[in-house]
Amino acid sequence: MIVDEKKYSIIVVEDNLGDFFLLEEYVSEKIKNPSVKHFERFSELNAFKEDVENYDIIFLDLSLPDKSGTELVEEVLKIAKNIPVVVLTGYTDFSFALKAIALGASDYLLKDELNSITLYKSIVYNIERFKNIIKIKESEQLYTDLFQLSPQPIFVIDAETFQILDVNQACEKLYEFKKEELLNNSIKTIFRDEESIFDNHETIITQTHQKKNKEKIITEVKYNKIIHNNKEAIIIVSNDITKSIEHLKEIENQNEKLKDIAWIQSHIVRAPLTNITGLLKIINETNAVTDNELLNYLNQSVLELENSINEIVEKTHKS
Amino acid sequence: MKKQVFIIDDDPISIMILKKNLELVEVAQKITTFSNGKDALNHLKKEYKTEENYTIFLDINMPEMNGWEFLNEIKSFVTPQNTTIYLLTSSINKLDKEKATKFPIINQYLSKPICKEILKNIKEENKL
Repeated sequence: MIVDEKKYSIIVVEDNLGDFFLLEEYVSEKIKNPSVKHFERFSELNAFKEDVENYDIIFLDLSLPDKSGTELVEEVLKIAKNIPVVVLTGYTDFSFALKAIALGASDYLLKDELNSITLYKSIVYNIERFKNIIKIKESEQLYTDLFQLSPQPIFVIDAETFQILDVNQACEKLYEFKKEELLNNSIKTIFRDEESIFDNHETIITQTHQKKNKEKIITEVKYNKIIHNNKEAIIIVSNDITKSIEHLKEIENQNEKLKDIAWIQSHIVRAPLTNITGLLKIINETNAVTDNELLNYLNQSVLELENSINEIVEKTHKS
Repeated sequence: MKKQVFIIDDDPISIMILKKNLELVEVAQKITTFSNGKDALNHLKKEYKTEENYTIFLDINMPEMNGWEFLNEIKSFVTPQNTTIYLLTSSINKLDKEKATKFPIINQYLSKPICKEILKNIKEENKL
């Protein structure tokens, strides 16, 4: 007989001691030195809940003195988030065993048919299967987080009816609608000004959208087809560029102003200055002014002014 | 051959400075001044003769008709053989300088204030 030498830690919640000893016996037949923790009541398990995650599997009797049935299964599943729960049942409440599976239990075992082989198989099978379930849950959580916490607003809409199927938090924030206000409404609530909405898959297009307060925003939008709950859907990623466009316009306006200033510098301001320098040249050449000190200062000041203006003109031309 | 000197400029001080400088380099010809391109154009339309010689100092920015418009107007009837045009402007805008190269009738692009040495050369070139 082959005995599994791996280390197994098992919780058994069972108030019938006879049933418990039998189960412990079966476990020991196939597994070498298993660590078995036994509770007779739900309250005992509940007091132990911080340590439950260190165990591999829970066997749960469906009727305990302090809790039973649906309530018991639900409470235990809350405690055992990351390990499988296998319910133990007799023929009499077999139908409830199926309900327990529907609630999230991993498996059921009929006490009357229990033997070491079925028990061992159940342990190994449920532990391994639950590892995969956890992976899927983690991956699901990751995708939900990626969608919900994405800083970019994202819509999921029905490909046929254009009804909004899902929106993320960034979407609610940008468009100022609550999720409930958008779900099952047409995407045209927001894409009010757009006639042909879905021609352009997988390319980025610029659209005008409307927020709840009727304010218009300009966005860059990307569409992609996905399958959502077995139906063809469209995922729309929206990127608000209203502010960027406003900034661009502002910069363009400032550039225009700068050009105007450059023109004023090179024509209007320079005109009287060139007159002054022209007059000074004549004065210098004809000795019309005899006080050389005054004349030198005047020449110097005009030269400085001319250099400053030339510098400004040069700078505005460069930009 | 009769020689004429025109100054086309809306700024009287600028005209005075150029006249004074022409005087300093001893240009003897009579100098006619116009305060905008239109007045100069009207005068030329009436008085232009191919056997006479014209030296024109032209400003760019003027009311009524600016330097560029004036040049476009006279292209049709004025020939470079007897007409020499000096663009004289206070602008140091590079675009103006580039634009000037597109007018073959412009002999030279000059920046204000004009200096005596350049005027001496102009005097010799045109035998004023």
